[in-house]
Amino acid sequence: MRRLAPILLLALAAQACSDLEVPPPVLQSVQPDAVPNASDAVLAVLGQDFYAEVTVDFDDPSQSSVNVAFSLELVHPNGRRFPLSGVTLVSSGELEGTLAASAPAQTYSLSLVDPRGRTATLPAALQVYKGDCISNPPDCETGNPCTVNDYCQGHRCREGTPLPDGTPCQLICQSATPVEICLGGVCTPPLAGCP
Amino acid sequence: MAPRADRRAAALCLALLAPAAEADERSASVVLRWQPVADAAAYEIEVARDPDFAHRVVVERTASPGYRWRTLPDARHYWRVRSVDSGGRAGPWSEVKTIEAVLVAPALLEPADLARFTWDHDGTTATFAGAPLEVLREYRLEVAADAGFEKPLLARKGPSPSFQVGLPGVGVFHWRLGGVGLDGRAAPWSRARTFTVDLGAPRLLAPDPNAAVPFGPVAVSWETLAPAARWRVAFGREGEEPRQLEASAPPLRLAPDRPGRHLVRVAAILPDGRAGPESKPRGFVVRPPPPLRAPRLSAPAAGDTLDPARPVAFTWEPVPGAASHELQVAPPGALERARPRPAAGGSLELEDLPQGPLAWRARARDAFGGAGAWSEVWALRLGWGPAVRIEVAVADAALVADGSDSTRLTIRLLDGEGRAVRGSPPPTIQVSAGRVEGPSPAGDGFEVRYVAPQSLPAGGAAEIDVRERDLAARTRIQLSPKVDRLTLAALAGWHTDLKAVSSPSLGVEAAWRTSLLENRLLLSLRVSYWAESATVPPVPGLAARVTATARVVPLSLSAIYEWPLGWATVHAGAGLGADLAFISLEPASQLAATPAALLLAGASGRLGTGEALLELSASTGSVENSLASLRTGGLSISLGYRLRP
Repeated sequence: MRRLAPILLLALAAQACSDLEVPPPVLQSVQPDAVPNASDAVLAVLGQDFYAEVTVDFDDPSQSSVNVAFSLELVHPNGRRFPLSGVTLVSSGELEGTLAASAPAQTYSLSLVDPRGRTATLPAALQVYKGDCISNPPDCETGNPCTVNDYCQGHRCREGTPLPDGTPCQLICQSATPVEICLGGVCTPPLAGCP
Repeated sequence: MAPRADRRAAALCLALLAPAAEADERSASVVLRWQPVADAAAYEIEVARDPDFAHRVVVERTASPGYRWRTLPDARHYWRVRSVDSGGRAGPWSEVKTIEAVLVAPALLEPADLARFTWDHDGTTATFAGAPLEVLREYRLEVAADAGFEKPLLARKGPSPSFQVGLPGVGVFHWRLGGVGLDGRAAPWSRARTFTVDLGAPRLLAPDPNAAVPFGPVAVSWETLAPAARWRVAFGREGEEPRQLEASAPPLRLAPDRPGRHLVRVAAILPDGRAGPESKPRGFVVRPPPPLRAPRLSAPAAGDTLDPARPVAFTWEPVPGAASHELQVAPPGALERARPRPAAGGSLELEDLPQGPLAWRARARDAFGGAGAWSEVWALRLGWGPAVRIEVAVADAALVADGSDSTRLTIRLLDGEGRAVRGSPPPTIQVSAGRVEGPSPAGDGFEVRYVAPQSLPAGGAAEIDVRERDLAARTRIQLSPKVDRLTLAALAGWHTDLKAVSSPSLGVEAAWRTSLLENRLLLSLRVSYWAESATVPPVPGLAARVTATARVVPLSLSAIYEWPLGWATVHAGAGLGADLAFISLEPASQLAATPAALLLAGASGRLGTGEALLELSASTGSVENSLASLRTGGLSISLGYRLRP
């Protein structure tokens, strides 16, 4: 036991010198930030502190334990989630994933869960629009029910003319008949919330 | 309405009764009563300070033939009363009567005026008393040195007119009594009386009367008196003029100069220098001192042989209480008749002694000339017989040849009977290697310090020759080579765990050569360093490069045994330690420790001032944590160089 005492002291000192804290991931942007929903889209998610969970085996690195399960999801304003497939850790500042075609036109926020279970969110991360914005100015649809005559500009779908205030619309509330109304070009739920 | 004749009769019937003072705190008052008058509807009463009723203090009308005057008068007052009939007509005034003063000073009882007290012990009290008065609820006493009582020395209050208080001091004092009436007003002070306090004689406490005390200091003690500032003590043998001493406080230690009956007296002295009476003389006896014991002889030691050319210094332990000592020294058989030689203390130096065997003794004398017992008799020889041999004693006969290791040699010259011959000149000393410091006289011989040489001489020993005239002695000191205890080494080599880990390594060693196993066992403390990195190959979902780095510091404490083989030395050892591994995997890092065991074997050979070494070692140890798993043990091969600082 006496011989173990110095070892224990060294172990305690080792604990004191350790820095095992991995910083939580941070989302900064998505490239490109607007895609049509006519086809699959490969997205580069940029940020920082994207780290896999790894335990390196120095004797045989191929036997190292690697957990690289990053989860990326686009979140519709009404709560529906659209996961990206084939998420790959490119570097500590970049993840790559694919958005499947036919996602409803809308501006989505992006949610990330890293291999350690920690999350990060980027609001208004990606616009998915309906139409073709390869050339200007064909029509497109941003997905905002309170605008009409949306148009393409700079490979991005821009909102057109806002509908008059009070026009019934449906975006978030899932009721059979519209209960939301347009206010300043934004579809707004009742003050009491969705029924 | 009553007829006029009746009213007159009624008025004439007014007869005043004596006033009565009621001694009750709640009803401190004078009650006035008079005979009632028939048909009187009321009475008018007047109380005044004067008989003419010019200064009236009470003018009242009452229906009953009595009146309670709620006052305790401190002076004489006058009162009268008249009747008033139902028609409001007043009759004639009654005769005028007096109300004597009630609130007066208590009459003084004791002590009598001009009384005298004697302060012959602290705590002496006196009783000051007066006659009680019913109308007083509290009595007051004041004692002052001034007749005007402007600065009272003592003031007391109490429910009784008798106070027992400590005397205020020595001198003339005044006292008086006063009080507080039942109505809360102060009664006048009594006339003051005077008393005198005289300083008394102290009481002797020690020594006891007729006590027999041993010769020496005598403690005289007495009861102190608070007013005294110091004390005068008269002390001396009975029938002789006493010595006068002054003391600030008892006890006083007196030193009688002779035995016999002594007397002592003590008188107190006031701060102003006035002295009180002396105490009764206290007699006691100072016993003669006991016979002095025999001195204990010190030098010259019994049986010593001394140099006749030098004075002989005789010393002994002085006898406590002795006033002087004396010494006898003479040839054996003539000691009893020898003339005692006086000595003040415990030593005497003599030059006129005859050579040959002598005997000596000493004794003490007290202050009165009384002789104590003789000491034992010690023999000495003045002038030595011929020395016949030299004796050399060595404290440590084995030294290291390092230029500083040393030992002490004791040299004595002995006569034919084996006795040390003192006073001879120092012997000459020669050494074959190393050096000597001395000789210097020590005890009954000489002392020499031998210092070993810097390097090992041929034969591995030093010869020491001691000569005095035609006598000689030789002794031998065994010498051994110097051993470098501390060595420092630097090592460089290669470390592998026999799998993926393979790294150059560096190390340093501090070793201590113990004196165990003929200086062949070393304790080695080592610190090494090597580093390794590993990269995780790509897997699905991971396109980034993941690389971990390990920096390992093995620490070990080993026991190493050396086998000298000609110019080379083979060594092997085992040890225990710990491996510290600092593992970093971006962005985390961790310092881990693991116990380790070590086996090593190698060879070394002299190279320059140090030695080169080649060593192969095997060790255990592995760390495993959330960042990595790593075997820190394995095989190492090292080349190194060892220095002796």
